[in-house]
Amino acid sequence: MFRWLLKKYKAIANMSSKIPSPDAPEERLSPDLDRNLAWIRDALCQSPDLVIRNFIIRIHTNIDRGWEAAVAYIDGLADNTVINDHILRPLMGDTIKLSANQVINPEKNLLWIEDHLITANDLSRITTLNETIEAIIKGDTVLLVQNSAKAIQISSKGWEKRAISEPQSEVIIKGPRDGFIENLRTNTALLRRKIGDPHLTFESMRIGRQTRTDLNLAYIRGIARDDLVAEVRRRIRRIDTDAILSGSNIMEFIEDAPFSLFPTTAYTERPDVAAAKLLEGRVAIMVDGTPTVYTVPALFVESFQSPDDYHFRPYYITLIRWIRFLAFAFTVFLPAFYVALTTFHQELIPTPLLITIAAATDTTPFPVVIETLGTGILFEVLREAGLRIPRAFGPAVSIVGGLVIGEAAVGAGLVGEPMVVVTALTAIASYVVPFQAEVNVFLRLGLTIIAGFFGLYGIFNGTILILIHLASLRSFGIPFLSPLAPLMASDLKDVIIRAPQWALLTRPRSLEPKESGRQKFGSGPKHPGKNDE
Amino acid sequence: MMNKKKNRNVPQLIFSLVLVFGLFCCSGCWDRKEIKTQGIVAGMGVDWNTDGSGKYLHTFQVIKPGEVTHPKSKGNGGGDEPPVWVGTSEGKTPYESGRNIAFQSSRRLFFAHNQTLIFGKQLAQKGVRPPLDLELRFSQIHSLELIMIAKGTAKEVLEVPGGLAKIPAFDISGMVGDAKYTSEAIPVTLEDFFGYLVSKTRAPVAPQIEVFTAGKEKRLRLAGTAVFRKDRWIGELDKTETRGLLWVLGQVKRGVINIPDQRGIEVAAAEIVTTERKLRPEIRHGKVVIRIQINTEGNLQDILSPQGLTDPGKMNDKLHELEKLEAAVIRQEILAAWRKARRLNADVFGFGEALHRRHPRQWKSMEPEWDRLFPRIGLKVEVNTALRRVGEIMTPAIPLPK
Repeated sequence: MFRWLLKKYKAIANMSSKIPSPDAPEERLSPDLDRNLAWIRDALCQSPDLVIRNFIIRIHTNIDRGWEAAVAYIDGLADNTVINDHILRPLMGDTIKLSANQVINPEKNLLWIEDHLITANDLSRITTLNETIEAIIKGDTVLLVQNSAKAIQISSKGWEKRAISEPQSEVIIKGPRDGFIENLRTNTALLRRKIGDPHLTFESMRIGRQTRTDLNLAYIRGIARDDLVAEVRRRIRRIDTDAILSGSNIMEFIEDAPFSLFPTTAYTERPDVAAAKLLEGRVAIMVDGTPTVYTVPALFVESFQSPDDYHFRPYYITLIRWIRFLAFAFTVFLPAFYVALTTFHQELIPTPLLITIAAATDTTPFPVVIETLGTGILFEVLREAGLRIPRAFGPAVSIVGGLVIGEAAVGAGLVGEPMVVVTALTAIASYVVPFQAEVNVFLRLGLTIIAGFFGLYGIFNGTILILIHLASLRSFGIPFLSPLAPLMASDLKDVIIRAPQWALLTRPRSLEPKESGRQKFGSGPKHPGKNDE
Repeated sequence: MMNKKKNRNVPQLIFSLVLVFGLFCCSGCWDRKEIKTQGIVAGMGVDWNTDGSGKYLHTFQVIKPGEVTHPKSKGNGGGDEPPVWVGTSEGKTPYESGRNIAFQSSRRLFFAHNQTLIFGKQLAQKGVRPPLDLELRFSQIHSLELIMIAKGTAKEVLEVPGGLAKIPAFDISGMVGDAKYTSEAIPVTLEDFFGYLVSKTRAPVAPQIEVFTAGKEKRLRLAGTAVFRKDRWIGELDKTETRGLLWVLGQVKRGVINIPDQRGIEVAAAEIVTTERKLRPEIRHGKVVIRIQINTEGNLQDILSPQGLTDPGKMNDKLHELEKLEAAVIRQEILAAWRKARRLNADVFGFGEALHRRHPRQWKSMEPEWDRLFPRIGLKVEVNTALRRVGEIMTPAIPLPK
């Protein structure tokens, strides 16, 4: 059977290798304007949203009276004000008479137009048909002039985009409320606003044969390690696919452990979080069309940090950190422990609790394992329905879910009350650490099944297996469990506690930043009575 | 390239998978048991020969969880359904007797939460070794369950309905736990009891429990301490003697001491708050002398004499007088326990072990003849008491007419 699978796989691999290579021979623009325009029309398949506007630049020289020209752009992607006010108006305005000493030849007329007429801010010269098409598709306007084998690309990107708003997925109480949007340039601008350092570097790439998605690598030169940046760059360049519709598509291509349950990349929709991660020496991958920014390397402990941690005072946050660890343990282990204790180790349950559990499960029809797995899966169904359902139906699901599952199932004696409590606790606790929520489900169900067969012994073995796996993971060369394993004591200041800002003297050493100092020792607040020196 | 890399890892992968599965095969016990298939035993009793047939009789008090959390009435006007089921079974050996309960119960009995193990008096007199042997071999038994001796049969003790606690066995264990407020009963766990039994010289003790009738209902109460020789009941200590034993063992925690004056009329009562015991065995001219020093502090709680502590100037003198009287009471309690122990020739105090620790070399020759030496021990008791607080009032509640 494995042979058969291998054969199938090879067949598919062969098929995918026949994908045409994107490097078609470069075709240069011709001096003939009409021919160029026809090319463009053909290349865009006579698309109705392609606008081509022919006009005459009224320049009277000693040779001719006006140059034939045309602009091409895509309606909806290009900004009409730019085209009207900064391209067409200056070009089609008053007749310009050039005196004898200003006479220019047709080859240089483009340069003259660039320098004297077009008032748009960003333009560049292009020579090939491919470049022309690409420019048009990306929302720029291309100006073609008769007798010139070159064209001018004028930046006129201006499509409808969402306003900057607070991310729904990462809600905070204090701190900045801006969030990334689907537009790459807006996002890089948001990052620039957070980090004034000119060493903040963006590197532009474009991937996806069909989608031709723009993406930027962001990092701070001098903090991020060069080999890390090179590795990210290398991995992204390797990608050869037809479509990148969101950043997550890229992440699946560049992950270290593609078959692991655990994600070895982190994501955020908040510029402040992204900026903080860049400042720790990470690299961010920003993809056009995605409000989510991905950062690598990702550590396990990152999931337990929240942007709000740095907006509240350290004592409280230290407590909250521990509550997060506890909640994570709860959501992974609670159902498994419940199953193990009630089916194998009843002697470990305090007597009054045992009596309560015994009374509640006296008449339930299923073994506890089945009950636990059933309610666990039921919760996943409810959660998924709640996510996917159109908002108007939402209350119906919650009422039916809450009432039918919570009340009726217990009332009818299908499941015991402790089971409902355990499931509810587990479910709520799983959202305390949202970044690991998708992993939790598997760990929880897996451990529950093992616990149903082997009791605590199974849970311990399962936990050891999980730990071994976690310890073997790496994210872009950094051990996934660091700074816990390998232990970096100085990094624990922002893991098991949250030290005050002035005591966070170094960037996380586990990320091996090139420059690790954050602030001078002793820059904490001083008693006003004492002199600083 | 991917395939090549994978191929190299295949043997490793298979090897680690074998290891992992091996791990799960080493789990030893394999007994998934749902709670609902088990009966939780709260109390367990063993009797012997109650009807003259020479058989062991086991009594089990099994919790009915539904009745504990959602009590149902027994139809119209009837009383509440009892929260426990009491079953008895008999057999020629303790094991057979215990297992025979399966004929009567629909659930497998589960002993890990057993609170108390009660031996009937007849069994105690015959010897508790056979049922204890079974207990020790049995994996579900936990060593902190309480050992008790029923003055009648264990069966009738376990059949008494619960008092304040819903489950009668919890009432019994609670009673023993609360004995620390009087220090007139000694809590003995299974572990303690085994400890006494393996010692060569120590006489095991266990609290006694009896059934009494209050109006129409039957109730339970603690009644002194049973004293064993090896595994056989040979006598008992009453309440005063029990506290004397606890003084020597250093286990007095709280308690009430009635203070009589020289004529023997109670004039005051004190509460014991802190106690300290020093025990020092000595060997003088071949004779064993045990020195016991008790330091205790207490509060004055009752003053019965009409004068009270009226005269502030003389209050300290009066307190000192009471302290001396209290010390005499404590001394009498210790001596009472000692006299009883000497009469039974049972080393309930563990003097032998103390001697062993202190004088290990001499002990070797003493151990074989400890039965002869024990009654001849010289006991030196020194009691220091202090009354620290006299409560909220200085004068008597009702002042004397002048």
